[in-house]
Amino acid sequence: MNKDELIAKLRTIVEPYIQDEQAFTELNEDTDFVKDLKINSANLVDIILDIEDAFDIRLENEDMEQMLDVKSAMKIISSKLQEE
Amino acid sequence: MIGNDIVDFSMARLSRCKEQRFIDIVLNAHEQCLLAKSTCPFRSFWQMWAMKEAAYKAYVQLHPNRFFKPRSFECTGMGAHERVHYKNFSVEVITEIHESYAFAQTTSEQRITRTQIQELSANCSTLGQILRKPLFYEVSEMYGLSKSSLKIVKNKAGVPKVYCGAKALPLHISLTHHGRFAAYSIVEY
Repeated sequence: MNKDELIAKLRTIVEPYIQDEQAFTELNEDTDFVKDLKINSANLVDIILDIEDAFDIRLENEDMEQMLDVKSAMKIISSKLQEE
Repeated sequence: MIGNDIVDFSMARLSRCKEQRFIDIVLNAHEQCLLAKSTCPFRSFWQMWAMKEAAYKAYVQLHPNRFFKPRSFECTGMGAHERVHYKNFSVEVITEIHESYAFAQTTSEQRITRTQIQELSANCSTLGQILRKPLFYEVSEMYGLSKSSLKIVKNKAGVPKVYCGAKALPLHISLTHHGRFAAYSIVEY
């Protein structure tokens, strides 16, 4: 899966939880889930579970720790996909 | 330091907190035992969530690096006054459970803590917009400053501070918003 495909899939996952439409329209690698998209922290748990389901991967507690922005999420997902 | 968190029960999803995978991300084994004994697991789950969030926000004021590790913030119990531990950090958290929401706030050995919880008519504004007016009113009264000279600035870790012009006021603040409810907490240092 290339970078663009990954971002596109992440866009679909986070969409139900975003509270800033403008930031969502401009979503890119540097987008922060909390600061930019204004996603509340309980929904970060939803996003983690949705990522697990969408990519068929399992995330450990330490993987989640930095899951606060698109770049970190992409890095973690890519490394999990490579492990498989 | 101060941290707070509010959970609007009407926005918190019942289905999710029954889902074991969701619970496993948030609660450790001890907390899951507490949840199993609870007469209202839904409220207990979100109470512990609010306690952890409040403690996290206080912790980040001391160690300004963001992270997401809810399970590692350990609630000792589910009373109105409980301690939450994270590594060597420990803080007392007071929780209020109402019909419609749970509100948690860390206590402080410093000076008086001021808190205001607001019920909103519509959940359309950002947190800053909702709380700016009452918070600035309170701070302007405390220091005899003009409301228009005040602003909230967040640091890299997302910790908010009240500034008067270029000068940070000697206050720790914490802001929270969920659904129909928002609250701020202030402590002077």
